Amino acid sequence: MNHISDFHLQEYIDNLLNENERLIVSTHIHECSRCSERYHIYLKFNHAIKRIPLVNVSTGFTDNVMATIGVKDTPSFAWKVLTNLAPLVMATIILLIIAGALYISGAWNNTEFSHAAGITKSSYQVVSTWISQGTHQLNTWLLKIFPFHFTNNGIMLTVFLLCFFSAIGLMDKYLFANLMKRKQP
Amino acid sequence: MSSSEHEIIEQILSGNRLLYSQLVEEYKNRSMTLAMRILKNREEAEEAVQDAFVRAYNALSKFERRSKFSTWLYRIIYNVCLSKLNKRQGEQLFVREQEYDDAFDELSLSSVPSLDYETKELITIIQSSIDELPPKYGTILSLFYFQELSYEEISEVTRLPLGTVKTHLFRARARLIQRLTQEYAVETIESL
Repeated sequence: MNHISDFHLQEYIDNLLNENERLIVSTHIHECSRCSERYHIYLKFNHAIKRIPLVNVSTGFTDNVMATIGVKDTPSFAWKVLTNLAPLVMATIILLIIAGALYISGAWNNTEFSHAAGITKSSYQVVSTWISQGTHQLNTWLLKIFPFHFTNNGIMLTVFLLCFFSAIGLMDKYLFANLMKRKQP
Repeated sequence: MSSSEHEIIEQILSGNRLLYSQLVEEYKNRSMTLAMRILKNREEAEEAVQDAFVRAYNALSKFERRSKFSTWLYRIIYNVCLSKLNKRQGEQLFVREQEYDDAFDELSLSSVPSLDYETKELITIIQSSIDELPPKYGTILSLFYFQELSYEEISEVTRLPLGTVKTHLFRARARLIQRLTQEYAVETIESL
């Protein structure tokens, strides 16, 4: 009895035979115990070899490659500032939200609330005084540079702040970021 | 090449160079496996893979999208490894074999708990048999099974004719099967 060669058996498993050849091999495998045995050994082998684990590179391999080509995951200047001041920023935001909620709900000006939270109220007054004095000083300083009074012109103040932060953003993107990543390949 | 890889490469070429780390992450272990099959030395293999990734990055603009990125990358790794092999001709083979064994000792199958004892043993035998194969067979076998390349892609990577690729793969598998049948009775293999 003729048998299927190992070469064709492998091609059959790898799905490289045409329709007609596949049918011949498939029929033969069902009829011939010897070829069926070899076929199952190859299948088992294929199954086992695919379960051999890959060889892993050392830890830090990707970082080494990226450092060699001169690309580092350097955070931008603004991100660094934000990261460093993150707890402070978060605390401020939370306090502002609480204060905002109290103010909007009217609880802040409520007599009972004020009496019950006398310390908070007096603290609020102290902080308000600080902010007021600070704003006044800032306005005095800005007035020497710019020909308008910010406290009396909300639109101008908004425009100024927008321009100011946009300028910082642009500087960060085109100046600081480039300076920090100037190591080119 | 998958569209996401195509997009990543486009973005890298447009200046988002950090994205290259995604490609390195994706292919580092498969590349290392290939390099180990050729060089049979962990340190040299890792050096070759790193070198290949750097070369691939520098030549990324020349990469033609006709083939898969992986095929192109493996071609670079294959060349770097061959170049290293050529350089070290005359070295003591015994030392290399020892280093090779040490390197593969780290590959513990105990980290695959779902496999039963017999299957682990079978894999261990296949693995040690692959290690004993001549590099030309081990490389083709690795490209086929671990890098999951087609015959045509292996031919593209190794620049060997398709017929030679088929013959090498056939011989490699025949040797491994021979070794297996020496270790196990046929019935045992079938029952595993």
